[in-house]
Amino acid sequence: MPEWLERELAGSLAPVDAPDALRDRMFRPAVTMPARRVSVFLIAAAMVLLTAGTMWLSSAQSSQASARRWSPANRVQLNDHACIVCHTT
Amino acid sequence: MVLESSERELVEACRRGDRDAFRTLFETYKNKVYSVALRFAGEEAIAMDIAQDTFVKLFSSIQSFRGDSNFQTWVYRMVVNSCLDQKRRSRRLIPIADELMATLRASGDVLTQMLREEVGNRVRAAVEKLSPDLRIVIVLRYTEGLAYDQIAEVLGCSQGTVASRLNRAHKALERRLAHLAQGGVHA
Repeated sequence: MPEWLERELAGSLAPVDAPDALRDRMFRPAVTMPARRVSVFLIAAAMVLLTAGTMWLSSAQSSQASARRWSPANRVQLNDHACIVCHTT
Repeated sequence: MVLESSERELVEACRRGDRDAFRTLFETYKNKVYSVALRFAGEEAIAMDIAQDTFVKLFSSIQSFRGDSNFQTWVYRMVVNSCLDQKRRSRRLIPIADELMATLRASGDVLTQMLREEVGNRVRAAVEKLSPDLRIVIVLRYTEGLAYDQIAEVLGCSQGTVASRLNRAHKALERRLAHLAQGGVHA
């Protein structure tokens, strides 16, 4: 191996001092939520959102159906003298 | 207090959960661990993660240290494993315009210093392009100054393997950095 490469490797890869931040990370850990707790929290939040969304959607559909059922624009259909809108079996 | 104790006593104190012993152990090995991590990963943030991971593993598995090998070798094994475990690869940043302008404006001494830094950056970039197996051998050899037999013990391979990997790494680096030699920066 050429001498220049040996010298350059030794110079460029010389050891360095660890930053103080490493000590802080080891002995004074920041108060953060552990990754597992964060993921559980995210899953729970997603489930709440999903449930709320489903409830909102079903309530919207229900009110839409109800509006459609009682809309005066709907033509009332009679079947054997019974209103099929009101008397469906 | 464990500051004056031998390595074995220090390890024993750590096993008993002595916080001072952990701190002493950390202070003793932090520079070695961080240096290997930084020279392997090439990026400070990744080196910090590797170093932290190494110490966490070291503290949590110190019970399993049987004492049949040198403790320093054991620490090196830990950091080497952490280095090889990390999957993120750093990407060399292209010098930004501000840095280029600063280089052009710099006076003679500063310019020389910047050129030296640039050469260092290129050497480190070339080392980072080596495969992990070759890179770790180069780092242990040039950052930590370990002998072939010590590297072999850390990596759990033969001295012949170490010599072969170093030879391959040297050849690759020589090929990649040949322009530095031709440029006369090493005269």
